[in-house]
Amino acid sequence: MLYQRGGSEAMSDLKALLELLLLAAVPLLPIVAGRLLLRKFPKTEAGQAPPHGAMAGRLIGNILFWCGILAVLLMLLFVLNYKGVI
Amino acid sequence: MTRDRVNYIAMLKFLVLALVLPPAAALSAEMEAPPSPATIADEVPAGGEMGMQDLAEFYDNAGRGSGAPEMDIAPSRSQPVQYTAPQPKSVPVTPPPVSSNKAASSGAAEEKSTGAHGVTIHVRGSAEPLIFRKGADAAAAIRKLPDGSITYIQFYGHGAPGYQTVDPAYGLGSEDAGELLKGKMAPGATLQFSGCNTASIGTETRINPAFGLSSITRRILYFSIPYFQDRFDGRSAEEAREFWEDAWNKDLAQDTSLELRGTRVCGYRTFGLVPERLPGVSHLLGREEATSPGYVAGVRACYINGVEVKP
Repeated sequence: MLYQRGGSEAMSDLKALLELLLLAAVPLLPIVAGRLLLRKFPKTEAGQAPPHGAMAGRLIGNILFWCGILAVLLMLLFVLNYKGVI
Repeated sequence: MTRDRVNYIAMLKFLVLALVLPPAAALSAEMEAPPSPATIADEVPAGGEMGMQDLAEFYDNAGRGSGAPEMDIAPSRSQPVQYTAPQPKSVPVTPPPVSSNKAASSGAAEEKSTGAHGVTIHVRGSAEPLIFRKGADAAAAIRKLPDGSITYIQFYGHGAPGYQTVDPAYGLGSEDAGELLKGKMAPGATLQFSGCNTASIGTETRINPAFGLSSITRRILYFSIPYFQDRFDGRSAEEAREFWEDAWNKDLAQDTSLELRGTRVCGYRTFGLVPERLPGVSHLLGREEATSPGYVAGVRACYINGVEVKP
């Protein structure tokens, strides 16, 4: 019985921890995706023809990257509001 | 390389602009529009008018109030578990204001400013709203009001799921608000909780990313963190989960609307960001001691008798 209770408590903690990590990672995902896209489609040297889809790739990468940064800052703003700073 | 850097600088400028302007502009922002005093005065029935002398009397008495909390602000708990309630943090102390926007009841000028917060009450028969900085002063004034006299009331301060503070010494939950205002509200009156997360996140699916971020932050602040705090304090996982699963998404507006039948009760489903509260901006605008918010970026929800109505 005690073993069962300990097991369910550990499961509950694990579930809460996993959820916390996933929630905290949400605003970071677009940053990572944007960074990957920008790496996949690097800027071409002047005079060189960009590879197919590079413009769109870089545009989407930039949007994702900066929206992710904005999301992190917005969450920071919410936390500061919660703390009573704002 | 240089061109690349210039692009990033331009983007950074855009980012700063987006933050300084209402940062959650993506939220369905709404201006709070209390009914105009003229409208209220127009609604006064010939027989039920409140004399200006009466108004002045309770207003003066309120101004002389001690400022001590007059109600039990501890949230009610049916369970015997000794948790700390998900109350908002107290309003930080800021330097003395330069604002001329002080309410009449704020009393001692030498007191340190406690930031923007207050209670605004529109009553029948008065063109001017009653404005209080301290919640206890407002509560004292409300108790002296005749039944059915309040047409609009707004509590402005920090909010949390199921709870709202007005000033550092005064806060209220749905039962407190119900006890305080029972019988005092006029037919069709509105009660506005102007504090963060004073309504639940709701069940409507939204594509607004700012709403999603607000909900995520709410879940982390009012479930995840207190859950682990309780676990570190030795509470059982079952107790902690059961309590915080219920607490993190409490709906103060809906619960209060069940206490005050017929009254339209509104709150915010999100963090309500008030741009003029940003450090520096409030100082520049002279709104450090404002008793009502101006523009609020947040999603508002209203209820009558527990049923959601259009805000």
